[in-house]
Amino acid sequence: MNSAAIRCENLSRWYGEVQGLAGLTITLQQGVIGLLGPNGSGKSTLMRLLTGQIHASRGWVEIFGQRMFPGQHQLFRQIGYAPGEDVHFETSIALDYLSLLAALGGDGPGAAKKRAERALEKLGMEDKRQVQLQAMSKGMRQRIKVAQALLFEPPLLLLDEPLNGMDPISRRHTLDFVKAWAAQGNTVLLASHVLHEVEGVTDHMLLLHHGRLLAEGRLHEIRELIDSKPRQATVYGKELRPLAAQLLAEELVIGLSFVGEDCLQLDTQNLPALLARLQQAGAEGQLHSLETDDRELEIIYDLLVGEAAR
Amino acid sequence: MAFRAAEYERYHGPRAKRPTWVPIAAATLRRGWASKWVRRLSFLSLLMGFTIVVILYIANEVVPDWRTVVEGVGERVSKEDNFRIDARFYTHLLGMFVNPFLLILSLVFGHDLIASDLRTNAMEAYFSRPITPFSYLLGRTLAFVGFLMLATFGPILMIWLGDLIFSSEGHIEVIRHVPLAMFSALLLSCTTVALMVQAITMLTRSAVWTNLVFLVLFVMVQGMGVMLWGITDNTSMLAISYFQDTYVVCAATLGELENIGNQHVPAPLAFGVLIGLAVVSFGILLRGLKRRSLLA
Repeated sequence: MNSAAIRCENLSRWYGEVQGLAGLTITLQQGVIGLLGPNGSGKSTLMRLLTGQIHASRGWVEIFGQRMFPGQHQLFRQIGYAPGEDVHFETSIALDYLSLLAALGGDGPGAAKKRAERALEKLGMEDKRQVQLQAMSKGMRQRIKVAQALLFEPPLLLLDEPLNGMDPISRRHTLDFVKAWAAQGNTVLLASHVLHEVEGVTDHMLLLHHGRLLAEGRLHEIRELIDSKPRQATVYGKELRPLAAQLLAEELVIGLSFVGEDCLQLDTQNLPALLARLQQAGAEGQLHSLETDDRELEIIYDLLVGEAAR
Repeated sequence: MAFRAAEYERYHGPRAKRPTWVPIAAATLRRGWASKWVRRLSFLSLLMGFTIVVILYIANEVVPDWRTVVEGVGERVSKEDNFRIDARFYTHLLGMFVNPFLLILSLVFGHDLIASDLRTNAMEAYFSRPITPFSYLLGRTLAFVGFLMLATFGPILMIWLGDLIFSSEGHIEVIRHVPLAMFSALLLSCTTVALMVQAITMLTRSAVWTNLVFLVLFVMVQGMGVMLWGITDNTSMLAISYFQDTYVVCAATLGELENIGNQHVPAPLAFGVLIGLAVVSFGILLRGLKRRSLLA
């Protein structure tokens, strides 16, 4: 397909007085694109507009060069969509649920069942085909949602926070799958509000905030922004005072504070270098554990829109 | 855990041409049948019909000319021909068990059909497939009406067959038209109820509120119709009573309108109310589904 996978021009959507999305203009080519933003930033609104679930209040969307709007059913076949929130499952068994959605896509009963089985296999869930959906963990159900998006092997996959509630192994497999899928020439728009979830699979990010496109670019550009801000690490261990003195002498920290004798909070301008040094200390047996803050997205928003954005 | 992305090949198999409402209807039927209470109520209703058939059989075996006896007793007691087992007999079945089952089954099965889909984002999964709100609604409603017809028309058909088998040869002339007449009347009645319950769900988005509104509409308004009729002496006031409308529609399709007295809703008004309710409910549902902002 020569056309851009997704093109939006001045795309806007209001819910009464509330602005869901405002003047979004983007062109996205094949590959994995991370869609980042906090809750209420417009990610799900964008997903619904891209899947023809709702009308745009202004502007338009093109999928593979064709305008998308509710009722544009031919385009629906080229899109696989995993909604963000937990969904109601019409049937109780995983295979039946996927078969129903395949049948809604136009398959006969036999073909729908085969397709459902293939989708489960793709996500490594073939042994779960007869499992009650109610009995599954949230992470499992999330994978079922991804499986239903894959039923028709669409060239465009829209995943709205697919990793929510998944255990680390499921996350790993899902992200591996996303990477492999894109490597075959497909496009994946992966929405999340956690930066490090997305950075494992793509370098291309879109940042939404309050319905507006805050930034679009490569991850290293965003990383540079993050690295210019102080970051925090917390270490736990015994006899931390000598380590604190060494870190100050090596100018790896710009500030520190003790939270009890066994816990030390460190502020740094160079988190990667600090982490490398702390790993070395850990290997020497000086540390029990290490935590870093998970505020990357917040930092970006602070930088881009200032404190008012929070 | 098998990860098979590497050996992935895009599926190019055939796509079925069947309408998209078919899988929705089939899933709704499965969902209904999976409900213990829907099964119990449906069986109970059919059991009522079967019981009446058994009574007909026993009466026929014990007193072969029981129909004449019953008619004679009826004329002596009420000076009317209420005890005749003819087409009009089938309108009496409405009050006996058809309407109560219709009401209860609607509450048990219908209240959560669309409400749960609206509450839990299922609409997004459905409508990212190539189906229209109309197909979705058609599938849901057809299956719902199917269950209601099973519990209402099913026993009536059983009774009619029993009535036919355990009667003299001439009796068929009197009740020949009953199945078609009752089928059309109950189809209208069940469709109206099915659409109304779902429309109320669309507005309330809550199973509990749907049931409460439904009970108010179907129980309290019945009494209000009779009160208004008493005050105004205008039988048209009874038209706000759904059961009265259903009764008149059944009598009209059975051709028994002139035999049920004159204290009833005019038949065109009864038809108009039921059709009007169905159309308005359908409009509410379709508008609600098309206004996808409801999902947000």
